[in-house]
Amino acid sequence: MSGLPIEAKKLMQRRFQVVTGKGGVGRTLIAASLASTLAKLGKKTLLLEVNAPNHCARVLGTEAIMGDPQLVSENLYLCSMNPEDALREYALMILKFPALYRLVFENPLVKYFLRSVPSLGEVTMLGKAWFHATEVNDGGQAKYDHVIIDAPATGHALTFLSVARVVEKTVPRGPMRTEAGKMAALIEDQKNSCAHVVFTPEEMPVTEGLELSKKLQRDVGMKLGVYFMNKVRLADNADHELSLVEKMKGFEELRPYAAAGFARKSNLENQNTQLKRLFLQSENVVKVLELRSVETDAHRVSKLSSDWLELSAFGGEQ
Amino acid sequence: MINAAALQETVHRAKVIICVGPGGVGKTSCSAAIGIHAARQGRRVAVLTIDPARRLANALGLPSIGNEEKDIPRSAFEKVGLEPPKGRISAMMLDIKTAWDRVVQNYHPNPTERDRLLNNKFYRSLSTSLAGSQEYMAMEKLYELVHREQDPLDLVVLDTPPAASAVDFLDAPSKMLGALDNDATRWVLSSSSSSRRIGRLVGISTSLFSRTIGKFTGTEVLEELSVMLQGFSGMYEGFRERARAVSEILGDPRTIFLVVSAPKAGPLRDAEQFARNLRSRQLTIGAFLLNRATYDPFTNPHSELDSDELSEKLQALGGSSALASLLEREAKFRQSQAARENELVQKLSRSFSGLQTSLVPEFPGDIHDLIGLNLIENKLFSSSWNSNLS
Repeated sequence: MSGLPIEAKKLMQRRFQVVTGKGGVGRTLIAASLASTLAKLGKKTLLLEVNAPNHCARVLGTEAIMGDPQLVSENLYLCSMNPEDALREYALMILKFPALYRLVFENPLVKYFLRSVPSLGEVTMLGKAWFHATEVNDGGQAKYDHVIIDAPATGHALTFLSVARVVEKTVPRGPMRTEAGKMAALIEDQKNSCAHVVFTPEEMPVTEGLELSKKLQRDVGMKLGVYFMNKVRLADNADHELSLVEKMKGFEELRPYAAAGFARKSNLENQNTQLKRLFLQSENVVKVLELRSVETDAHRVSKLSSDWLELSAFGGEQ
Repeated sequence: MINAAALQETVHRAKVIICVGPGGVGKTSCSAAIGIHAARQGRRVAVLTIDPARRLANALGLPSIGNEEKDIPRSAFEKVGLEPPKGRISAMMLDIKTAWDRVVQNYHPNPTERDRLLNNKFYRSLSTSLAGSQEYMAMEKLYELVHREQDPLDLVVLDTPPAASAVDFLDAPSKMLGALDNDATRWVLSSSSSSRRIGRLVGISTSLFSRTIGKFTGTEVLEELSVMLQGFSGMYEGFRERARAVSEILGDPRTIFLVVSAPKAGPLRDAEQFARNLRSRQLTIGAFLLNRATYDPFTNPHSELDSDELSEKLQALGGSSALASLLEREAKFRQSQAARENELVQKLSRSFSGLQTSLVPEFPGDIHDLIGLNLIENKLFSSSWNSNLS
């Protein structure tokens, strides 16, 4: 497919992009396709997964990667974050002494204590994302051109993305507050960061996604990115004839076809209603067509990222 | 495959039903449909969702639901032409801030300290926007519902957030107990501004602990944290008791976990992981509910027609050959999809032998109201699986 709106192309080339939406809509597919596209365009791109091990690796058809990001294909780096590893990395970065880390942090009592501190996992994972987004190589240049976050679904995404500001407002002066302030600034950066929301053409995912979008802007203070409408059925020339299914029902031998036709008809009607709802909200709606048959996620990622290569027609924003 | 009688029996003997599973598979709808079914059997049911996304209200035809329980009135059913249940069903959504405040208000022994705690900055963040907090509160709420004496409930149906954090929910009681019975917590509690030393944690000195942790947080953070934790003093024994009680509720044989998923490769992998996790904790799994299964249009006695034959018959009704090939493609696609799903479900049944699997077909349009919930309820609890597609 082609025809990405111009504004969408710009947003899809921002430095720091978050992908979220209702559970089950295909966030990982969109995040992975976006990252693959940017990598194919020659940009060093890091895809970070939040506490959902293996989903990204699976759709990219690679091994799971924890800890340090690793190159999985040309220009594309992958890493799956989880609270325990993120805390260890962060602690080691500050303490610099593995022995001290082991002594204090791996003490079973301290471990228990830390496990029960609310949001500590979120803060450290966000800290890791911030670290990579601002990481520079020996020459002082940014290590990654783009960092894409495959974020959790609705409620947890909101918690995850607002945790930095909450910590910054809550804790007294000190290293934690300073770090949290930097993370919040990255998230709220209106020029270089954005949050994309993924939908499917059904009532609940659209309602929830729109509510989420409002909160991302109003409560988190994030620039909204693109609305990706996933799992859209392709139109067929014969769709206008589907009203015939009513007549077909009277013929026993045609019933299976009437049933299939009826299902398609209601799906299409529902789809159109939901597409309209979304188009009314934003000009940046990108339709992601459902690719029929037994295609694997890896196939879909590679197809989408080829389709989206037209991004290059714009040399990024500004 | 679908065993309506067995599922009925499972729901019938349950006092608590906890729906777990990956996102986007219709957990909330299934929870509500099960609640309605139990109410139809004359039971007094409450459905509780701790999903931070607000979906339950929509589906139940309520304008909104919050921390307070709301009855689904008979008129909500009558309005859409459904028979209202014999029993009573109410719904609520966990509002974390209100729930925390209520726990503090109900259980804090000292009014002055209680008010100071309610105004503490740390407490306010904890109770509004920090992750993990909702799992603690869900646990408190479950305790409250199961043990309440006024208007006692026959059944509590709990809808949980998607996979990763539903495990958090299960861990909440032990985490709470762990945190309270922890020397490190006790140390933070007793240190505060007086910086009194209380000897050593196992293996490390408290000053090493405070210096190390303080490196990231700043020492003031630890002090403020300890002020908050001290604000909770007098409540610890209660927390501990309730956490223990919830562990007991979760492990009770009449607390049934239903693993809700969809008959697709990804969601099934998550569901399996979940079921293994529940089993390793020795919790009772009632069934797998696999939602949105594709209906095979060529289910007996219907069979495929030859392409030409189909085309001819449609032409007689005024349809083009393009329509014939579209319908043929659609029907065959659904057939192969259904076959693939069937294979996956068989595989699941083999790896969890003895566990019942219920399939709910996908409905055209989607489920977002009482009528839709009624369809799910019928598919889950009545033995025939007729096509709803025509």
